[in-house]
Amino acid sequence: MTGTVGGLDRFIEFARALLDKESLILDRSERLAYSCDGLTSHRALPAVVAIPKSRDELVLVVKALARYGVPFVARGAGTGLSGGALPDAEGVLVVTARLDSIIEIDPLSRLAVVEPGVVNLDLSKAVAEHGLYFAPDPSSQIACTIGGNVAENSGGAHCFKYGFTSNHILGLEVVTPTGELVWLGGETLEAPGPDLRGVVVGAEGTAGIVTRIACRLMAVPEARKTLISYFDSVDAAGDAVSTIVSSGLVPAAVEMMDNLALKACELATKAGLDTTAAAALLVELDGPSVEVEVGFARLCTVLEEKGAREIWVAQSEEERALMWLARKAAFAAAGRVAPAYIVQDGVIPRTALPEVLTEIEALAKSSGLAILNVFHAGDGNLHPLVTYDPAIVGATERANEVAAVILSLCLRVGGSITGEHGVGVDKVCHMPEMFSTSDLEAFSRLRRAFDPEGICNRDKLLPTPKLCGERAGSLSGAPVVSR
Amino acid sequence: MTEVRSVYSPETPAELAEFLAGFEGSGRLKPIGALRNPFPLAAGDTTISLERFDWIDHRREDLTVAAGAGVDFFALQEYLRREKQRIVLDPPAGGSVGAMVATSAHGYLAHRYGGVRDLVIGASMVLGDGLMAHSGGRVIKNVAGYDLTKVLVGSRGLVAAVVEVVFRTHPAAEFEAMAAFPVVAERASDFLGQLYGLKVDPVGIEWAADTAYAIFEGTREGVESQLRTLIEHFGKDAIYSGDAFGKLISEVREIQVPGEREVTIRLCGRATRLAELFDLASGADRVSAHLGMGVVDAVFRDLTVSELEGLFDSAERRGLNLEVRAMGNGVADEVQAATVARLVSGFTGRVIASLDPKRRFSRGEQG
Ligand SMILES: Cc1cc2nc3c(=O)[nH]c(=O)nc-3n(C[C@H](O)[C@H](O)[C@H](O)COP(=O)(O)OP(=O)(O)OC[C@H]3O[C@@H](n4cnc5c(N)ncnc54)[C@H](O)[C@@H]3O)c2cc1C
Repeated sequence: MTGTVGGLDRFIEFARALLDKESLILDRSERLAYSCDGLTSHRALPAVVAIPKSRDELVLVVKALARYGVPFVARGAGTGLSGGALPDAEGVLVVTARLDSIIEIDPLSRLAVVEPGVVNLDLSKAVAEHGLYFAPDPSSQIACTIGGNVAENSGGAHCFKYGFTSNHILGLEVVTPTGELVWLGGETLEAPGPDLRGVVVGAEGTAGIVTRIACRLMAVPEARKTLISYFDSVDAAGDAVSTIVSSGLVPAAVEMMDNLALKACELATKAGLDTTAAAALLVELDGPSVEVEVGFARLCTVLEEKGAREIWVAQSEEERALMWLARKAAFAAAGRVAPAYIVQDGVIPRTALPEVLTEIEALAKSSGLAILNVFHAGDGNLHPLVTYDPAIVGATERANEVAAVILSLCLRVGGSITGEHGVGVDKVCHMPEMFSTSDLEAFSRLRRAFDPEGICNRDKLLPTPKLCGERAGSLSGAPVVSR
Repeated sequence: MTEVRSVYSPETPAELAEFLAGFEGSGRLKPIGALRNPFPLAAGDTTISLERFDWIDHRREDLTVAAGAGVDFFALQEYLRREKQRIVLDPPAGGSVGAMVATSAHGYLAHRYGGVRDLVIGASMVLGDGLMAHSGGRVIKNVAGYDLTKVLVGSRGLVAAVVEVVFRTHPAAEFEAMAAFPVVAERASDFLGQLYGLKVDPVGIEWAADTAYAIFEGTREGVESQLRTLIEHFGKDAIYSGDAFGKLISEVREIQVPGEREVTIRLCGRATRLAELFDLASGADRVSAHLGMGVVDAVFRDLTVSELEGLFDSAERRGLNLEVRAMGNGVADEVQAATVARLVSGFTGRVIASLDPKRRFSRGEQG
């Protein structure tokens, strides 16, 4: 039995003895502050909030939760956009924010061992003096924690060349929902046997709470060159991306913004973007300086051949930062052009870009809702921002419908329902659209290996009849096996 | 090697799933690739040959290729080469795609691009009771669902039969070259420190026979400029490109490949602990290393089980990882069995058991 009142009471009694006043929040008004993460449409009041000060406290807390069968949810900074850190109303929210020590930096091994509450950007700042950085760079990197990045396998603008969080985690320590403390992976890229660290990364906090992380560090590239090029049509910009990629260049980032996104970002940042263009590409090359020079010349040739009407090349680090500020402001900037919006996160094979963007445009027209498109074009990760006015009757429902249709569209062209924000509670009922019943059964088996009692981040990631109704997985859903 | 009782060679994944669902034999099930780097088979085992899973579905513009588990990996690379692409994995020896994943086989390129775990973006598999499952997909960015592909990487066929693998592809290297410098094992860490200090960006940093190799790829101008930086610092030494590069790098790779009665052991730890790794490998017949990755490969001839256990214990005591990478013909079955027992022990064993409740792929091999 999980979630029994008795279990929770016994946990509180235990926690009172273990944790100091600041670390155990029972007061209702204080708990309210933790009732949602970045997905504010979903809220729940946690029965208890525990904010351990040390790894030992955290481990003891989870062991007690396991012992008393009390459901729990981990929370880092709460910036997640799929409701992964949405509390369990019958359980305990375990906040890792205070576990924010960088335990060790080993520059020669290009490794840092950190606690889960370390903020993503703080790690890069701490290792900068050694000419190193932590490559995963979600737009939320000034706030989100590395524990959260691990759980969500977070990406960022530079995934096309450098991969996701998973590619930068060498090993991790996790306290499982059974209360066991295990180290998975190693301290190098190589570790024997099935890669269980790779399972915990991206498990969306359902495999336990990560207590220590060995992060791979990268050398700061000798040179970086960034440009924004403008196009008269979205198609032309999409075509330019294909040509860049097939020319053999591997840019560090290829980002695309459509006209509405350009306008919103310009309003928010005054970066000097051309708001008359139909679309813009932000492209960045990095690496050894000669390599970057040669590649950049080729890049400019491709862009000109593909009809770029203007190319703005960053002349200084400040100008480069400004370009990125404008791009990374996109989510918040949508708030400048509409009272509310849904951030969608879907992935498509890059070659399907023209087809999908045309359909999204048609959706915008038919629904009467403006949709801003801003995305990681190199890896086909779309972030359509579906805007609406909640004051208009039915608009919220329509926006949700449109966002859902976009996901189905991604699946129809062979893509995925999420490229970086995760499934959480937000997309749990879309899982059967992407995965067959037997895929989902395999996922459940894996989950049970970590959490046999089902107490960790319940009702997320995997659909249940209670959550989504009796909706069987589509047996033709497996996009991998091609015959 | 013990004689195998039966070989099953399904034509389709669905046929394999049906076979497994109805399987009532008592022996183990062993998915096999090209049998170039297998684990031991015993009487009563049923091997599953995946050679008929031989399809290739390359989507050049999307930078992905799906391949049946039975496709020969080097043949796949050759196919991609004609399309001016590649999978940035350079295993020292060939084998089937499924086996490449199951043995997590990669080479020096892992320093820059990561290993098998980093380049497989999707996979389909059949679990021991016939459950067909897939995770990941055909897009290079994707976080939907658990990443089951990771459980397959390095699983040695103990978890599931790999049916199809989707890899991310990269453009073919435009120009490759490497510089060789005399470096004794004791100075390997120092060499690495100096190399990193030069702000060059090698794709691999290898070591064999008291020589360190810094390998570069990119445009000719970019590679040559980095080589000049190295020469200015370390003094003039040998530079290899074109056929000479290909020949030498094959020779360096060859060192890791076990011959008759030989076992290749991989020792891993931080680059700052390279000296300890070399020390552990001191009894080996041949030693090579991926310096930047903190990996030392040691080839032992006629290694006994107790010697292997001794190596495992000393690695464990020092907090280093050890893995048996490959075995030549004629290695005692017990040596292989000891390796498997380590792989399926503890927490990992429980995860394997949850995916394959009847332990058809790892029967009798609990650690
Ligand atoms: C403006 C904005 C921009 C964003 N941009 C990006 C982007 O570019 N790319 C991207 O990928 N994401 C992006 N995100 C989403 C979000 O920032 C990431 O998912 C981030 O990794 C979450 O980190 P967090 O510390 O806030 O985690 P939380 O939101 O607190 O938690 C996220 C999940 O991680 C789990 N978790 C947290 N800590 C642990 C732990 N120690 N052990 C186990 N599980 C744990 C939680 O249970 C939850 O399931 C953005 C969000 C915002 C608000």
